[in-house]
Amino acid sequence: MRGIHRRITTLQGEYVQNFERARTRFFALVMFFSLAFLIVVGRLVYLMGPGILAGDQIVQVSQNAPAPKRANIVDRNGMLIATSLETKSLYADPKFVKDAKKLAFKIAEIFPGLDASELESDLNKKSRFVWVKRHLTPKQQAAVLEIGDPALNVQTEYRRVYPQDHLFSHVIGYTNIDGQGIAGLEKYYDDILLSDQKDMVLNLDTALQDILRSETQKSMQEFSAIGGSGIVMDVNSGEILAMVSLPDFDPNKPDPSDTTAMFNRNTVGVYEMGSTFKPFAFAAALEDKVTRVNKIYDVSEPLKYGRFRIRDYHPYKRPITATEVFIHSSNIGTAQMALDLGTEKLKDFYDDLGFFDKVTIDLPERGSPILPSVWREVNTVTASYGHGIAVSPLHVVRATAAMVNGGTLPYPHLAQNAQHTDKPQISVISPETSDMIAGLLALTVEKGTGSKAAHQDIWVGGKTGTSEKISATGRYEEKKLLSSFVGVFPADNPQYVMLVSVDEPKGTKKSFGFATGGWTSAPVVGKTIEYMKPSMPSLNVANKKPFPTLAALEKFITEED
Amino acid sequence: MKQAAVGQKDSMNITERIFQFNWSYLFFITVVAVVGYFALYSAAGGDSDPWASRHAIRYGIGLVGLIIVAMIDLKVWQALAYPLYALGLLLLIIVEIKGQIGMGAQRWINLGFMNLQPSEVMKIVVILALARYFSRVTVEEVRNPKTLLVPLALIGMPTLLVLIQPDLGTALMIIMAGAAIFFLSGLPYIWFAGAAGGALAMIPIAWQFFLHDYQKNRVMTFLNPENDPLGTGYHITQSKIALGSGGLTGKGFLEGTQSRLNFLPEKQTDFIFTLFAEEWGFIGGCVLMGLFIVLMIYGYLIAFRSNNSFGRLLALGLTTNFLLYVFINISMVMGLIPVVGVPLPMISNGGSAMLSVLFGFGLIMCVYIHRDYKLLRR
Repeated sequence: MRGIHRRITTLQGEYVQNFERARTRFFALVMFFSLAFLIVVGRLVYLMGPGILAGDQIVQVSQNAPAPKRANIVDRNGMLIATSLETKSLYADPKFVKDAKKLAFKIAEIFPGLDASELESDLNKKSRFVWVKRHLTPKQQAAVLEIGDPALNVQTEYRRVYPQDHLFSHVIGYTNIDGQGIAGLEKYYDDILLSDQKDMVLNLDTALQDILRSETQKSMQEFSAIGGSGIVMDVNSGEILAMVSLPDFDPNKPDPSDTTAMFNRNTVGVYEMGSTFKPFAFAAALEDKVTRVNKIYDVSEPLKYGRFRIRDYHPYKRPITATEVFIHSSNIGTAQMALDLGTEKLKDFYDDLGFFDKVTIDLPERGSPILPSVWREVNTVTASYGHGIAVSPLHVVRATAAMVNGGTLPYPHLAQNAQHTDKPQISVISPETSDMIAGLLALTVEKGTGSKAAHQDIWVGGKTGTSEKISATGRYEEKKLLSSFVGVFPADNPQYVMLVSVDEPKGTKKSFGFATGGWTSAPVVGKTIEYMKPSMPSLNVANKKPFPTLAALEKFITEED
Repeated sequence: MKQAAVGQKDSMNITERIFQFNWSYLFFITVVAVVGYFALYSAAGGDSDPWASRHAIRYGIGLVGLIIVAMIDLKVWQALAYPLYALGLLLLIIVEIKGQIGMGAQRWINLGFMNLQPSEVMKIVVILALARYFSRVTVEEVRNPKTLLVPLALIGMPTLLVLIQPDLGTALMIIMAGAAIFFLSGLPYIWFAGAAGGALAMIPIAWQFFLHDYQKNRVMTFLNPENDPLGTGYHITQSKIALGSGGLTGKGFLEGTQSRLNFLPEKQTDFIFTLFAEEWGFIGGCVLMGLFIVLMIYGYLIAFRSNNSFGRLLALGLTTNFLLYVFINISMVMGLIPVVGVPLPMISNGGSAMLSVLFGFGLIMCVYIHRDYKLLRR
């Protein structure tokens, strides 16, 4: 501490020094920000420059080659999904154009949408080929012949037509005007569809697709949701019978800039799927023998885990059995099981189920799962009930199939001759565990959260899942839910798995304000099963047969809630 | 001490203060807020509900706050610097402990009428505390490492608290604003080089152990957005498309199809610059950046004009903080840096950020009003 008089005498000097240092440093800082400003403006020029030069015009790029014929695509019953129709297209050879202005005017009279001045400049080009108009109607064709200009010629080409309009949008994809596959199956099987003119047969069932789509749409409307998705798959073969993603588009006139409609939620979208994950954690714990269906869990207190508090949606004030943990979807109980199992084992199991890779299916649009960067115990806890890990709905469908089909992972596929299904199916759990999970899923529908998917003649098994959505900036949004239901049926001899998800549903008066998977998605599964029943032999039964696994498990429900 | 040559005053009455108010600075601040109003009006599809009207109300409240903050004696702010810092730190700890923990980030305290983000408050008070500390440190002392222990702790504590929220963007902003004050205080250049080197060496370690998954994803997305155009690269790709479609003069007010048709996520918050530039074009984007530059020049000139160290460092630090917001946000939407979730100040929808920025402007105004003050070192 210096003396008072010294401070007074040096104050002036200190001040000048401070001032000087501030000034040089200040200029350095201003230089830094000026540079940053220049970089940002440079970037703006780089990003916006092309738009400025193009004069805001969207240039449609098209090659000269006429669109080729592509093979038909049909559903499993032979119903036409995509076909190529022969059409005539008008092109011009600018070399023979005498009076471009006059000709352009005449042509524009036939095609009201055509810009005469643009056409005129096209006709003045040095090239020997310019498309004037693709896919003429017979009337337009006659009118063009009427002009009789030697520069004009008509070329036969093919136009891709999708008679089912919106029904198969994401699955089928679409082609561009030159007949090249741009998305969906049209892209994945582009080479085959162009070279092999045999019909491509899909596993899809048009009637089922239609029912699933309309039921999902109804649920979306009822709960004012922004989107929905549904998949029906054969649990043994991996054949996809229906795949719906809403909102969708008409592949006859796709608008690629409408990315919301173009987005296939089933394969590209990755979501935290919530409690639909619990059967996986449960199966891993059963398989490893760290739990039994009659083991008792204390779920009365929230589980504290570091900063996290694991709560239950419906808290229980008493110890409950593992069976009850499952059917009432207790996060606390499931988390305890996962902790007993251990991080490495749960992680390996999820890896075996395919959650660490893009899902295998014959579609080009597939999203990468989002996984915890470092997998600590807390990630094991959250992953056991489907949080902190995001996978596509198809991942869940595939893994659920393995949970109930005796324990092997099928390869989901849309086309009947798909190549990637040749690999041997991997066994992930034992047939005994698989049988137990099917029983637990059935009990969940009978007595638990999935009651709205129940059917009077068919044992339906299933699990609800309601997760809070994470926003683009990484914040959880409390009111934005993804509400799902995954169903398996018939639960006593599983043949099909169906997953329905409704995106951002809002509770209604009828649902008492709930927008959970049990309210939004389970009914869709139930109704779709009802529609499927008459046409599927394995479902067309008069009434429920005794289901021994279910009866055995029922004993472990200690008390009616 | 009264006759000391530095500065001319050590007290002012209210009338003097009102007389010294810098109205043109306030005018430009208001212009930026008005631009924000119209951008939010457009983001809602031509409706003042839900964002633009609240933006206006927040600006109104913030404006009153700004004037009150500016009218308070600079000496009071100097005296309050550490207590306010302690309060900010306390709020951060409260969100950490009390905030209802979801599965990820939790950053708010619910005040009933608005959600307060303590990390926004912290950005300002850490500058206040650092300005106070360094205003009493001489050039010689700055070269002594021991002198730096206190300010390093002042930066370190909130940074750690914000990091575990986790909010990487805010943590980086606190560090950078702190570094700017260190820099202006005359810390030798070599130290900055050392710190930068250390930070670079930390990147692989941070990547391995500290970054959350969504943060990593954003970095990977940043490095190659087109690789996954429908997944996580979506935001950046859409943002770039929207910017590219703006052209020279833009599509016109309420005409930005890319942004309005919901291709652009978070259009009312982090990506509002994209919406603005799509509708007002390259010229509009440059004009908005020009407005920010005007505010920068004002802030730095006020700092330069101040006759006391505290005021100078405060105005410099706060202006730098404001610029960091602007550059981080704009660079982010243009795909120059990874998406870190920093709003565009005075434009983006969001209460805490706007109020904290206006609080900062109030302090800068306060520095201007009291520019001829002499504040003794002790």
